[in-house]
Amino acid sequence: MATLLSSPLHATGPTDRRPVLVVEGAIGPDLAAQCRTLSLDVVIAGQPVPPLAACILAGSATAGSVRAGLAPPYCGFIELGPEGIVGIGMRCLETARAGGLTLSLQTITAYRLETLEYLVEAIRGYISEMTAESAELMDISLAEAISNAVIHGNLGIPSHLRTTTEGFAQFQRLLHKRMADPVVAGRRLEINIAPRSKDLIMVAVSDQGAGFDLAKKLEHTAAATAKNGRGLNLIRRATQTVHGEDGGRTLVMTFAR
Amino acid sequence: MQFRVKDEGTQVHVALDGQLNFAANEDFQALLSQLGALKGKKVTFEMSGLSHIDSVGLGLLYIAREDLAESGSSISLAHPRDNVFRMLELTEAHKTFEIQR
Repeated sequence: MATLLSSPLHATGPTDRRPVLVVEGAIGPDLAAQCRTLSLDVVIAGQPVPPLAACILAGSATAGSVRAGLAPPYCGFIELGPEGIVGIGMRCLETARAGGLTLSLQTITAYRLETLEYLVEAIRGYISEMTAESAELMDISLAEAISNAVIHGNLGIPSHLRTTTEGFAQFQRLLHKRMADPVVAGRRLEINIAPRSKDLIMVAVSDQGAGFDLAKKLEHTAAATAKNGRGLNLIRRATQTVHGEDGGRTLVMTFAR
Repeated sequence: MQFRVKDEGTQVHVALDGQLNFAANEDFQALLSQLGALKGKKVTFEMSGLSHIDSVGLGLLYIAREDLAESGSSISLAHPRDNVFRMLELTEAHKTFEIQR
């Protein structure tokens, strides 16, 4: 674990912190070069970090490592893929810099791990003053946004397949086929959480898929007994505000504290 | 997600555990196959062990309901946690499913 000179998550001082990648084990030359390109400090776990460091744990993603990264003294976790941190969104570093919580996983990892559980747990610790109702609505919206980002965003699987038992079986076959493609399975799912004001929390869920027109999708209201198509409307009902960025690859939601 | 099925004559209890979401696929496929063999039963999904549900998971419940209706069986949802019940309310699923709290 890194030797911290300041608490990245809970300090109330300056919000412009310096993101530092904390890596268990050795730092390879590729990762070092990638970090230099991004002007991102990288240290081996246990080494001292600079003052006002926002330490992000980076490494192989397991239940233990992701949970560790989402709890103090860290302010997030970045999965190191076969190509290091190539492909991570700058939003992760901006969130860390602003005192928020960040998570970047490959799609296959987000699918295999209990990603939502870890985030819900972390959010409870991160935003202690949030009401139970707000926390509940945030959980529901986050579950929905992660599902959309993985299935429709990164895997590009349409929702209309899941309307019958046979369609569901077809959906599964397609899911396994897409997951077997390392390029598709390596696309990132990123969740960034940060205070927007004293009353609002912002949660952004990003994927690396083809994007979509959020406003158009929100016009569609699923019938009460429909087996798909109710996800975005659920998010609209559960959030204070919702909008799309990056051509629909990032869903930005706000919640009352 | 894990499930356990307990057949008690005309009543069948299905206890769900974990998360019923986009990743619950194989497990739910196995459950659908098992429920497909039932005729004229009252099936209760015990949801107290379910920590989260998303709209993919809810869609699976609608598929189960339709499959069961075709074989003359009915479905009800029992004891969802507050967050799960809230999701069912927000999606108006409580208008379609009988929900025991």
